[in-house]
This record gives sequence, structure tokens and C-alpha cells, in this order.
Amino acid sequence: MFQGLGMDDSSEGTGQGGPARDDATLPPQDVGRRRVLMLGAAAATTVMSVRPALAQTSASVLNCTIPVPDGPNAGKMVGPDGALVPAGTPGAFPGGRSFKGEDVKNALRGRSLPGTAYSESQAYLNYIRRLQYGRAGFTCYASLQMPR
Amino acid sequence: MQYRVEPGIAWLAHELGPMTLLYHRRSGITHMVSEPVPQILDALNATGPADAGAVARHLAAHFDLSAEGGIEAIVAARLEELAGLGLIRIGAA
Repeated sequence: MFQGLGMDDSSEGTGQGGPARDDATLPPQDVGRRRVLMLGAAAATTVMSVRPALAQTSASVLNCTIPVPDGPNAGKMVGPDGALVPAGTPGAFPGGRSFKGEDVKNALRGRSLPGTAYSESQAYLNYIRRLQYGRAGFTCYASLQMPR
Repeated sequence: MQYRVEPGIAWLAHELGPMTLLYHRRSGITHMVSEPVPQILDALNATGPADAGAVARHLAAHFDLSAEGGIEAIVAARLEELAGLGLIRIGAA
């Protein structure tokens, strides 16, 4: 247990009543079931550090970067809805981009991402909005939404 | 390489939705971490000094693991990251 600090303990039980593969059909709060742990990728950053000084706090958050797409999906393109699609897909935008937290924050407020036209910026933003835990850039994106 | 958790209560933790805040007492730095970091720290607490392979086996015993790459390599990367932050230590003693 994680220092007794209220972490989800439902995974600690070893009383798996059936095959683990059945878990997907069960509600996540089912006690005693094995849950899926998203390890993400080795290159994914899972830690964002906030130092005591306020100025550094802003800097550390806004200077983080979000790769589009993340490493394991390099070479894929980004569809208008933010989904990753194979290279060459009509209407999709090229990957291999990386955006600073500050630029993403501004884009979430209505500006376009640097060096992109409106529809392209929206596609990349949609990708960023769909980021999940463990994916490169998620911690940066999550931190942008925390009030300061 | 062996890792272990810092002795005593080196940090305070607070869950915040999908993120967990770790306040590191010594440095005064707050780390926002996401899955699987809290679970790795839990595992290291449970195993005692352990290398990435042992932590990975502990996780596999408690979770269904979803990974983009080798599980042990991912765990090793996270352990190295946590050691760099001072949240865990390198070495068995």
C-alpha cells in the first residue's frame, strides 16, 4: 500500500474469482478484480514537478512539450478528429510535431498552434485532448488545466 | 540495478483525480505523477529493495498490464526517473 494515503486498493486483493479476461465486462468498482494498469511507454513522461517558487512553477508547466503523435506512433498522421491514422490518409495532417505547453494553453483558448492553419491546429488539439495517462505529453496537458 | 524507497515518510501524497500529487519533504518540490508511478512506488514498498524485473513481476501479479513496449524496460525507465527526483534511492542498503 502506498504509505496508507488512500490510493486505490482494489487491486491488492488476490481473490480473482474468474479469468482476468472477463474483467472488461465488469464495472471498474468491482472489488477484488484485477484492474488494467496502463504502463504506457518507456519514453513517456509521467512526472511533472512543481518547484516552490511561483515563477518556476509557471515556467516548468509552460515549457513542457507535447509530441504529436507520441513516440510509439511516430510516422502516423493526425485526422481532423485527433485520431491517429496511417500516413497518406486524405484530409489528415502530418505528425512529427511538438508543441510547447504555453502554445497549447493559448490554443485551448482559441488561438492556433504555431505554424499551423486553423483546421490543422484543431486536429492537433483534438489529438492532445484525447491523450490518456501514460502517453507522452499527457502530464503536460493535464498540468495545463490545473488552476494556479 | 536495485532500488528502494526512501526510509521514513519522505513524501506526502494526495490523489487528485487521475493525478497524484507527491510532496517531497526534503526538496519542497511537488511532483504530479500519473499511472503507473504510484503503483510502482507501492510495489517497491511491498518488495523492499528490488530491481526493475522484480518490480515488474510484482505489478504483473497484481494488475493486468498494458504497455507500449517491454514491461521491464518501462518499469526501469520509471525507476530511473523516480531516483532522479529523489523519491527512491539506488542501492539495496
